[in-house]
Amino acid sequence: MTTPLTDGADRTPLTDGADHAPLNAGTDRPPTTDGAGRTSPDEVPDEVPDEVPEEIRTVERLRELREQVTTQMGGPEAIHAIHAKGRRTAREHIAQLTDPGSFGEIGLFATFVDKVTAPEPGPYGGGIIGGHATLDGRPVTVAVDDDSVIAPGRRSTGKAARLYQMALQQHRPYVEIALGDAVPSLAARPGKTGTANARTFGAEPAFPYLLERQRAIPVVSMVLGDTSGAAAFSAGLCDFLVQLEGTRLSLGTNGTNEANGINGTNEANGTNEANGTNEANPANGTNAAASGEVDAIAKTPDEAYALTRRFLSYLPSYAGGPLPLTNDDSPIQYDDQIAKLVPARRSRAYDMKAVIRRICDADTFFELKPNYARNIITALTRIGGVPVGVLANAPMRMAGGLTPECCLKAVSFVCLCDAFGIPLLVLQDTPGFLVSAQAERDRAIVRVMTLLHAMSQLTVPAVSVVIRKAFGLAFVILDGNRQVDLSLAWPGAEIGFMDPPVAANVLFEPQIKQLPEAERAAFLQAKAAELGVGFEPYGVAANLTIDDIIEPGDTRGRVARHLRSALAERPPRTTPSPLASWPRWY
Amino acid sequence: MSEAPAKTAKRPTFREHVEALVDPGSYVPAQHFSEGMDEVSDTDGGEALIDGRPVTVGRSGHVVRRALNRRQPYVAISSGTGGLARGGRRNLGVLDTVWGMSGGPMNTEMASRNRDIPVISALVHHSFGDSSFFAGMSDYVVQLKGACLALTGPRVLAVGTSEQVTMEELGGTEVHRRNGQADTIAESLDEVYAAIRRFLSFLPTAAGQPLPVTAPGPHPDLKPGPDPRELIDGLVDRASFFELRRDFAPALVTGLARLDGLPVGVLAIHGAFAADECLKATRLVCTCDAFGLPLVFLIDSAGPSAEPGAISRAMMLAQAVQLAEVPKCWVVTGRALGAGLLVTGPARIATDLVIAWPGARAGWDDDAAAAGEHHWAADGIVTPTGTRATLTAHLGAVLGPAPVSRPGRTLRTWPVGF
Repeated sequence: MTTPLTDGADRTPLTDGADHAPLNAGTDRPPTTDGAGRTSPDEVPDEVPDEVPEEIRTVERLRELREQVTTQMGGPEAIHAIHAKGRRTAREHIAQLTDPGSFGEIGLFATFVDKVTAPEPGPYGGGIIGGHATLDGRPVTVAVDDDSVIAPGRRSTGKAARLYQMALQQHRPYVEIALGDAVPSLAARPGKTGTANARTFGAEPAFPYLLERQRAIPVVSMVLGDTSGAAAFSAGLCDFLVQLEGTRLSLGTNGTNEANGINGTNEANGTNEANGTNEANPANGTNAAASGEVDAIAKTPDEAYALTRRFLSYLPSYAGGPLPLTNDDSPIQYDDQIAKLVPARRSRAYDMKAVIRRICDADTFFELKPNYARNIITALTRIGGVPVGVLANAPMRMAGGLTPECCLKAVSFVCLCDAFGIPLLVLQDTPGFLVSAQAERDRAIVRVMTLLHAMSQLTVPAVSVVIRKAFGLAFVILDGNRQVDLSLAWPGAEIGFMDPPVAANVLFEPQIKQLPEAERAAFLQAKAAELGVGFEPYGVAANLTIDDIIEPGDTRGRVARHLRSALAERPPRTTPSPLASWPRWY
Repeated sequence: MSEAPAKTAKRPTFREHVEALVDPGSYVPAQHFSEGMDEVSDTDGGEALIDGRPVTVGRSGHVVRRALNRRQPYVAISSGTGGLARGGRRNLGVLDTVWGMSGGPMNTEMASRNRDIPVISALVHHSFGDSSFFAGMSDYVVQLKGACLALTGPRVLAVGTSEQVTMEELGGTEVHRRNGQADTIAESLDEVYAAIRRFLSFLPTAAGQPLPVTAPGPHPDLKPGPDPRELIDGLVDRASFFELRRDFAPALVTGLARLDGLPVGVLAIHGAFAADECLKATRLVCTCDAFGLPLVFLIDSAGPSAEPGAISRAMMLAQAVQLAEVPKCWVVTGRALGAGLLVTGPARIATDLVIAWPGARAGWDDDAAAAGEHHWAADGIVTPTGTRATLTAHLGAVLGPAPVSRPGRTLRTWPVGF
């Protein structure tokens, strides 16, 4: 839809809207022809002025209105009520989030109310304040729920749609702040909201654009107040979802739950329990974090702004755009400390995050979904100034074994990186997928295979390093199903089809049963050693399962050199990544 | 634990399975044997006809490359212990274990096949490792009662994690009928074969090929009521409804059916779109879009539930419906409230046909719906008895007399298992 929307003072006649009107809505809608654009098919206003009164056309009137709209918003009482709760208005959020003085508003005069015929001018803004701005000097488009006017009213999803469309056309990230129980205006409501303008604004949900976004531009959703309904849509479609602690986030409202008969007296299903702050379980922060949907939890709005800036600092402004490189001309040193972080004994745990921090540039480690499926780490970092997504096993958690939830987390991350051209670094130390009856009930098979599916379609430069151990299907998948550019291992790595002691036990079950109890352990050990031949990196390097064995201290250098040359040599991408269209969560 | 069929009767060989499945005398084994197989008692697979149309049949994912190259459906007769007994015993290391198998699931072509051909897994015996992985990438999975489908077997669990479970507890039909990983549960081998033939009967041999249209079936008798299965049976050709994932996400009934002989995907909701309902719907929407089958939605729902994880799953379904390029029809039979409207489509986004029954209500909530907005977005109010004719007339006009599947461009690349 490219119909130009104009401000309320100069109502350019809209076309009939054939491209967005309901198919055969049962009425032959006449073209909207009068200058005020107020003709509606169902209800022609009784008093259509021949001309817009002269005083409405003056510059003074424009200035006065603009002043009024930007300062009064939904009225002094509404603003007072927001402040009384210790919260910020939409305009205050924008002022704090964006670079000072950078905000240029769009749709200031959007409204649901017909300003010409309405006896009292209602609030402008359409429930959303938005426009263009910069974050750390880079352009973005922001859209913020205006809770001084929306509660309990409806939200102009049409305005969100317009702002998103502008962001898309101008190749810049779209940042939404959601803080309301917004009922979307789903439909044309001729005769209710009055004008053709209102119909266009209110009737076209942001939805089609967002649903078809296919990660063409980065989308951030910040949930800074209790949110449901239309305001929650982008939370389910964005690339980065940050939620303020203590807020509730859900798609449906209590009403829809009751209507579905799923709420009733069962409080556990109530909206307020659904995705809200879970005080009884502070470790999880919010339930939404527990479900993995939220990428980061913020304790304050300021922290949420900072998280958003941080996230966007690693991303190009649009898919296929240049990566935001930093000037890091410091020479890459051999790291003689990194090997000490990893115990040689494979049963000893260690902190993989410490290893990542040594491989990437100082202070660039930015973890996503840190409280979900913690056996796998997903983080944005930089190496030699190049943004890099790191996918790493976490031996501190269940020895780094992978659960179905880990697959979800990894797929979501890989889609993000691949869609935006961010190179991937995989650090492996895992006994494999954790097998159990519970995992099978949790659809382990399809989740594991979806990760394989995703890793097989990688288009970004990717490097895999086996830090200590990697077995079976987990190795195949984390190695990108042979799609990574470079498959490396540290000299202490073990790589094989299955942990040898387990494999020996399974493979030689009949022989073990025939042996006297006392001899079994020795037999197993011998068979495990026999099976383990070829598991050391020289064995797997011999048959090209890995490409090279590297010194731990050279890991950072090797990865940095490869990424630098890979990014320089690759032809620019002409088609989107196949993973760009995948859902953010599945 | 229920006794596996193999324990009580002689297990059919791969060849016997194939010959029971395909048209008599049509099976031609492949001439090239795969490396790395040490329990070969038959061939690894070959070509055959099912209902007169070509398919490739293979053991646990073998020779799938032949089907991909020939662009015809592939059926895996799956039972397997994975790569362990093969590569492992021979100490070959990872590369040979997982890469040596030609055309196996690790094959990158398979992992990025983009639903160009229908791929089916028939789990006729316990399946671990490769054959289970293959099932995870299949468009249709039928599991025989008594067969176990799992990443790895109880023995590995017992040794590796000390968890003691039976085959049935680990990955029996009771597990996968509830988590949706089996599209059909079969009580007997004959049911397995019949289900495969039935599933294939609705699909073109490959994306872009003609849809298998049959003569119009007998008209059904519609009994309007809340039961989605009765509604579906009352709209589609008599006895043509082939339900998928019956016991998973029960508020949504999904399956394939025929409307005047034209194959369609049907999704009928009666209740909330919880996360599982969204997963169930998304799989079918992707399959239908990839193979050009029109989608028919019957809507009676007040929207998504508020459980954790529901937002992203609901948006995923909304994306799938939006991105699907096949003809889409919505019939609002009862309520279409809240985000349910959006999740299932007819928020005036790329809609082909939206009709509502008299008394249907659509709007954000019951209040809005009651305020007389049930004409919202509808192309027309159609009586229940007139619905079938409206749908067939619409689809006939959209697709023409000799419909070819026009696969969508996007969803075919989506994940396969949901």
